[in-house]
Amino acid sequence: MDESIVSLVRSIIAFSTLLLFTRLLGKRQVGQLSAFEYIAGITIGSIASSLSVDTSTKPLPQFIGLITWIALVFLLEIISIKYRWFGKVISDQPIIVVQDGKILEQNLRSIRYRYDSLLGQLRENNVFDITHVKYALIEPSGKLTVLKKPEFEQLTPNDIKLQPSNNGLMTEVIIDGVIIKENLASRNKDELWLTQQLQAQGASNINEVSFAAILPNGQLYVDMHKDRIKNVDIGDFDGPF
Amino acid sequence: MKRKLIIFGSILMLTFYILIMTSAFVFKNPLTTEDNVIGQLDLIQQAAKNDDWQRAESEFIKGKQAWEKIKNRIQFSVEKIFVEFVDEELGTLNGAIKAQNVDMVIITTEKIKYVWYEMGH
Repeated sequence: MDESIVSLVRSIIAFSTLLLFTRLLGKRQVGQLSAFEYIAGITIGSIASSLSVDTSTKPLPQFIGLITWIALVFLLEIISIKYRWFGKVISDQPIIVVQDGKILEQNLRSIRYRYDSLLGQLRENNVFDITHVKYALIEPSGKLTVLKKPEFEQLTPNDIKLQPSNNGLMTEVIIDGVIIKENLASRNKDELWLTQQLQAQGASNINEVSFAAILPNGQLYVDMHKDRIKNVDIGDFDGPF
Repeated sequence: MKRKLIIFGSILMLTFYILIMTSAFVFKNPLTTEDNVIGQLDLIQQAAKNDDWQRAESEFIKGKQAWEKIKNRIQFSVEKIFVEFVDEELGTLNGAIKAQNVDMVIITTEKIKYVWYEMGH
């Protein structure tokens, strides 16, 4: 029995199965998961690693375990979407911990949340004075969301009746010297326009271009492979690495 | 079309993996005339009962070669402990043949057969 080959084959099975099923579980990121989903994710990873290298057990039961966990998490997600009350039961609900600048100790205690964590999370939300807070909530993911009192909110162009310039998305049209024709067409531009723009910005050959994109204002941004800029040394260590 | 192809490909991939992981059930059985481990164990037992130790030894060599072939085929779908057990018991069987101990030959071959039927289930 060549354990290296067995591990190789089992790793390929675990890797591709995990890849396939995590796509099925959706696009939510770690920060958006509830505590249970986070732990379920760790368990799934642990089963996959066991399937990959633990040759002391048959691979099939581990594979079935992996599929079962993924299926159960998937099922919970479906049921939570369909029945809101169920979603609330399994992933908890947001809880107010600060209201009008006052800490709600009882709520804080009920979720076993420490003052240090609360103050730390407030600072992460750019709140250094608790009296500025209208509401602060702990989300099911454990993150703190803050609504400041109106007088402490940041000024927006709307507040001073300012008409901001239009914004939009940047569209990449060249990556590593290759033109992305679909993106060019989506911005109603053609290769002739692109070539003219490149020449105007000093790029005689498309292969010299590392990245180019049409900015929201319609201008072309060009980045060459050779950037003619002065290197700025921000390190304070003149060692070999 | 692309979506259907991806779904079909994924199902095919999972089916293939399950087949690999359950293949011991099929691959432990002889596919040629030279990989019949159970058949060789029967021949060893028979030779030992007839006190034909030279034949028992030659059948043992064939049995060991058969096991080496089977081992490579079933390694992806069985526990390491099964493979190690058969390896170990074949060592004991070799010793029993060399010591010309009929009882030990019968006990060891029967032990291997017992585990053999469990393998891959």
